[in-house]
Amino acid sequence: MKPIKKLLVANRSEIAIRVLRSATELGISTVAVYAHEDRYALHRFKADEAYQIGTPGEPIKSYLNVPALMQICRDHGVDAIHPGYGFLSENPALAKACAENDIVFVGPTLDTLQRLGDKTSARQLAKSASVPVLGGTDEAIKDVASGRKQAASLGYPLILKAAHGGGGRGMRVVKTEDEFDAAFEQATRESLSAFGSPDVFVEKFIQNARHIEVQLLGDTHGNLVHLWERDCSVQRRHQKVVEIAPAPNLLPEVRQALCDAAISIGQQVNYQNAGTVEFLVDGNTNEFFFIEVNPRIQVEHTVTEEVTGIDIVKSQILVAQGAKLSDDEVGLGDQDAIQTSGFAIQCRITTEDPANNFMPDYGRVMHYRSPGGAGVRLDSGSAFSGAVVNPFYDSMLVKLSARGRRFSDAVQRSRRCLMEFRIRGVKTNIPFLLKLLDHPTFLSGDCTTRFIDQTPSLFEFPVRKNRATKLLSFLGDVIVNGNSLVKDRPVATRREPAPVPSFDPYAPLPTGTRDKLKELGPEKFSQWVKDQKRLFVTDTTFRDAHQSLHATRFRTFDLLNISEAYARLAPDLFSLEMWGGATFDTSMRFLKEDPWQRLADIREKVPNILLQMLLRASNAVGYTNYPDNVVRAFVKETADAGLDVFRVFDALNWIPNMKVAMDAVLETGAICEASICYTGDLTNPNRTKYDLKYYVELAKELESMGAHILAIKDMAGLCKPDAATLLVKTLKQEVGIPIHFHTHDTAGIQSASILNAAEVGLDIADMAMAPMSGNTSQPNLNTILASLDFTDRKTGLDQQSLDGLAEYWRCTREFYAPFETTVLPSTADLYNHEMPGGQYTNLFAQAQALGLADQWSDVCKTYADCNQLLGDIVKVTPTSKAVGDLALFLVANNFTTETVLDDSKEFAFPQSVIDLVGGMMGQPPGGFSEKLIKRVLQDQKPVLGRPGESLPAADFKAAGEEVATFLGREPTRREIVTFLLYPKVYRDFAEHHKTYGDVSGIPTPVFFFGQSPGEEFAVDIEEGKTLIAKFLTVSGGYADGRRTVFFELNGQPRDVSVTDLSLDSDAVARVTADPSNAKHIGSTMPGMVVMVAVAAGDKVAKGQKLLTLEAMKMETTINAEQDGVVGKVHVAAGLQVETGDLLVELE
Amino acid sequence: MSERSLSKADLESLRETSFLRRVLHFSEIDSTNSQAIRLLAGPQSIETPCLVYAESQTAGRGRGTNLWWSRPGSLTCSIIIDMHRFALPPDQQIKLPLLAGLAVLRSCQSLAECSMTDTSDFKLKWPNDVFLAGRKIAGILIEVPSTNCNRSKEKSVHHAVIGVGLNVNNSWANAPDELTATGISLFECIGSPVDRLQVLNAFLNQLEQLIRSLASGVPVLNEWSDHCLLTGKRVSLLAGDQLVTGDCLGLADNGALVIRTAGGTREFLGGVVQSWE
Repeated sequence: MKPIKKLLVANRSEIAIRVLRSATELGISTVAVYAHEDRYALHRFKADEAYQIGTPGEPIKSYLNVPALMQICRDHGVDAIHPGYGFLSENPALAKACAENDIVFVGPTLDTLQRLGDKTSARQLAKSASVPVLGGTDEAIKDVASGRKQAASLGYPLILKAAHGGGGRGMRVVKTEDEFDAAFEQATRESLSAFGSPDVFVEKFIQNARHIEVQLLGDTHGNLVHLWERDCSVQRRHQKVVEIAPAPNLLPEVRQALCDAAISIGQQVNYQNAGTVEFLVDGNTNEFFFIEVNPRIQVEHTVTEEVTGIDIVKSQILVAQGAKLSDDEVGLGDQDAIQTSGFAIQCRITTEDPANNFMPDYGRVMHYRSPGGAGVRLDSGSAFSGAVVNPFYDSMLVKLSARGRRFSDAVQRSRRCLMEFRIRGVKTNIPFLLKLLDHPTFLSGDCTTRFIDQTPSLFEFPVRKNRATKLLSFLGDVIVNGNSLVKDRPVATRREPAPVPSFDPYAPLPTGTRDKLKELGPEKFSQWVKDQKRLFVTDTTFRDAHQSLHATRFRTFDLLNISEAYARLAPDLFSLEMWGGATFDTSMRFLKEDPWQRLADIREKVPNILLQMLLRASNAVGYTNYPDNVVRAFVKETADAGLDVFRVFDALNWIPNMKVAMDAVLETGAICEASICYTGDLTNPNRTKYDLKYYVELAKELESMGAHILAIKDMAGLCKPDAATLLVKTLKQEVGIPIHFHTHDTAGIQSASILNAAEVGLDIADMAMAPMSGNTSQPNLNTILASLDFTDRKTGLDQQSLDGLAEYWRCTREFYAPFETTVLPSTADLYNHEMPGGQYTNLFAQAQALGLADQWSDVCKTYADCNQLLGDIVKVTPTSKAVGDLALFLVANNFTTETVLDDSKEFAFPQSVIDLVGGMMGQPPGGFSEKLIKRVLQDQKPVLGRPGESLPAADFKAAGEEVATFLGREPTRREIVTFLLYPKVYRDFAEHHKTYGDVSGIPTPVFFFGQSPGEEFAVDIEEGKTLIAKFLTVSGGYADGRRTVFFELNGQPRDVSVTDLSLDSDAVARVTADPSNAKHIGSTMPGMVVMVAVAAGDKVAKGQKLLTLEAMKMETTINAEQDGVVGKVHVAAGLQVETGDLLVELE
Repeated sequence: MSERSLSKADLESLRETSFLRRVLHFSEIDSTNSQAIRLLAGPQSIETPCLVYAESQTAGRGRGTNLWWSRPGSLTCSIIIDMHRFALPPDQQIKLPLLAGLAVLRSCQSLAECSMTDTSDFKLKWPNDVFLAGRKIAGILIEVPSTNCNRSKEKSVHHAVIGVGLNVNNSWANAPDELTATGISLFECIGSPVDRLQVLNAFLNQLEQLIRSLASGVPVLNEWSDHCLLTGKRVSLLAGDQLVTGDCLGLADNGALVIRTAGGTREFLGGVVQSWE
């Protein structure tokens, strides 16, 4: 017995660690070696000493460097080497060098390695041990002809194998004779290129083969035992994937025969140390055939250890020192005493992407969490958060071995462990392993070697969610680059959440208007509303208030936070106006939120109050006419999503345009609220176009079309208090449905209009919560409510509760400081120009941009003139835009409305005006004047019918197919409708969602401005699953323009890499040479700077080399054209340049 | 193996069969590229295209400080061309190295085809190494000896020196240890000796044709891409002192190598691909 004092492991990663552990347990000092590329690998740190080997740039070759290994042994007193598997393990050169240097080689003898290394001689060996070998050639095939002859005598199918090959390379199955020649050529060439030898031999091929191998262990005293068998049939392209011990469903007599055969082969060579004899077992006949002997420890030795309780590596080291198998430390003296208990399964977890043909992935393991518990064993190399998987080595990350009393127990435990793994940053084959373990063939223990390659269903994977990584990517991006939505806008300082008024969440939910609607249906409900004494109130804070004040930027997060409080504290509201208008567009385009999700979520929180939306008739929620089938589908989907009240309007009050949408609403069983847009002035006897008669007739027609409620939509706040009295009083007499008044408080007196209307029987009024009211928004809900308190129109709402809700909005508004606009106070001029509130601010900004801010009153006056020129039309999106465009055009060019009609002058009309006059927005009452039409359209004919009528119906099927291409799955009907309404916006949104997931749950300050260091927040990603994200810090920028953002996610460190847009190196460094400046030396071609020969301050002579550029290995030298002194060098080696980039400046 | 030397007369014959206007023959020289550059720097003007040929090189150069292992039986020469004469616009000139590689590949293929060898194993490793069955069969080094900055390009002559090293009849059995597994020759591929003059003639004609195609706006890089060794593989590229690793996606329109790295897709005009797969 020669005790080992210091053992070197000539290997890396998990097997190196595995060996080091056993050696340490035996009290032996350990030495690791590592290639430069492996300098951070974990095996280095598991040894007592570690030395770098080889040279940088040779990650594999370094481990094959026998002389260097010997040198390390000599220098550091190493007296034994364990080769692990792969690398030098089967190379006689290492064993030989060990023998020459008096170093113990932990493995079989040199002679054994030589005799088993060659497959042909190994087959001879098996034959002399009377073990069946697969029919085939014993020697390498000489040429095609003799090969074909041998093949014919063996019979097809057969397999061609490289004599010096392994690991499945250089193997080829030949099914029929006519395939032989080509296959032989290929196998020879593959063998030559892969193993440096063209030698190929041929073997019989078994269709249903199981790969069963027997573990041997021998000592130096002639004793040899087996540790039973392993089933390694589960292979992908001849590479083992999952190994099982013992083999399930193996007949006891076959098992015994295999083990006996292995022993007799081992005895042929007086086998010492650990080795494995591999067999193919014919699944149909139970015949078995010898394949080869692996004279080393194997990857899958773990499962044998798990079921026998024997530490194979420890035994290897002991027998290498001369211990007998029967020694107590080894404990393998009695073959009969070696038994297996239960089953063990090993899964090789690799960084390969199963969805992409097992393409190896690499990079940094951002997050690593491993499983554990009873019966679980992990053998890993560098598997930890922060480890780098590099492309030089094989892709195995960790081996999972799980034990169980029965095979099925072991499978279940393996599955559980695979699911417990959380590995982020690199792709792994875990999804594939899970599919494999779930497959009935695997569960039945009946896998053959071709199972994986013949079971394509194993490669169908569910889409991985990875929500946490997506969320962190978004947060990281906002932290590093900011949110473009608030770029250059005022910063909101509020970060603490807005206070939600308290309520009892366990009290039964009070009933509200929606319960009534459900009870009565829309017609009777409408009657019921009319019969109530109180004035009903619609709160517009969820939609029109922030649309008017903050460009519709309120996020679902803030709306949803207060929703339940509304359901509990304000059940007597008529409705919450929360959708439609611009929300659909802006939520996707800017807020990256799903508008449907907003609707569904609020619906869930507020089941008792009606939800209301604004529908632009044939324009639905867009800015253009849609085909009728799109409008109908949109309305149906919206009603299905839980919306109750559709307020339908047309910008020109043109009934034909409203009909499709109204009919669609009526079909769904929701409430159809048809609108009259109010314009003109009922109190002004000189404004006759829009008189009482006009509105009454319109109202009656809408009622006859089935409207359940009539809305007066006063989008510009033009309906003066007296006009409101007159209009509402008259309409109440003329129509039988409730009246709903909507106005904007641009003039500041619209509360009076509401109160006046209430006095004459108005049924419902729109108002906004106090902090979100006034100006271009709706009048103040809280104060109107209080002023009605002691009247017979008392609303029934609780003042104190509503004030609590208002406080929430006051605080919430602070989050949106970036979107606050200075609203110009309105003068009485409002009643002249009649500009809608939203346009008032927009047009002013446009005028400012054109340098017309000082002529603002001119613009307003011209706007009024243009309105008259166009025949005094209803002005609301999109007609108001046409009027505004024309007005600005006239003022900017010092034209008047007379100029417009002056035939002697050329005049280029804005497109919006052409659309309006051409009938693309519908028909105004009385139409446009002939003269105007002729002037605007020249020779073109206006469209007189409904524009939507002439549009071809949308092809939902084709749209669905297109959506499927970018969603990567079958779209829902809702998604198709969204795409048809907003193709580009929706596609961008879907892309954002794919990259960052759902961002609507992020608190608003974090969404706009990112977290501050140490700040954390929680977000629910699904029921019962909450992520807590805490931002830690950002790393300094790297040369490639990226930063790493560090987080704690649910208490675990995580990080994401984000491109810092401000570090865009290409954009920063590039300066262009001035061709006319003789002192500028510019690049003559695109390429990369290889070397710079001069530095600032150097004197250079004409013709002296300044630097060398390279493109595609073509080296270009740039010389000085004149004598001079180098002023500045603008580039450095490695930088990519474009033609004309400034390289060097002379002084 | 005894190899017949190419005589001055042999080379002169190329003036009849290719676009060469001048040939310079040396039995031994440090490096044909260096000689070409010395000639260009000298006082006399050189008639181009000009072939600089040496039976053997004592200091044959590869990229940077790499040496080219040349042995009797290999073909080493440099061709000087004037890019303006071919009306190659500056943005196309950088594709010259790719074309040179493709010209070598086409020449090898045409010879191998005659001998029934499977020609699909010929590959191009960006930018212009030619590989056969995983081993290098030819290397190319192009040098543009001296250019002044862009303003004077109209009147300046724009010479490029295309250095070619092609393993024709040399056996790799006797190559230095570190090279045995990396090189291969036409002889080893075809199984019989190949006439080097024939190879050279094929190459010159392919080169001329490709340069003219390029100057005429033919998308010659499509053919290049069909033979790309690196597309779809994981590559490590050393650009300056930065080692970039990623999946090779092929060539960009300008010939740059496109690599998808962890940090996004990037295009490289320069750099050395150190490892792949």
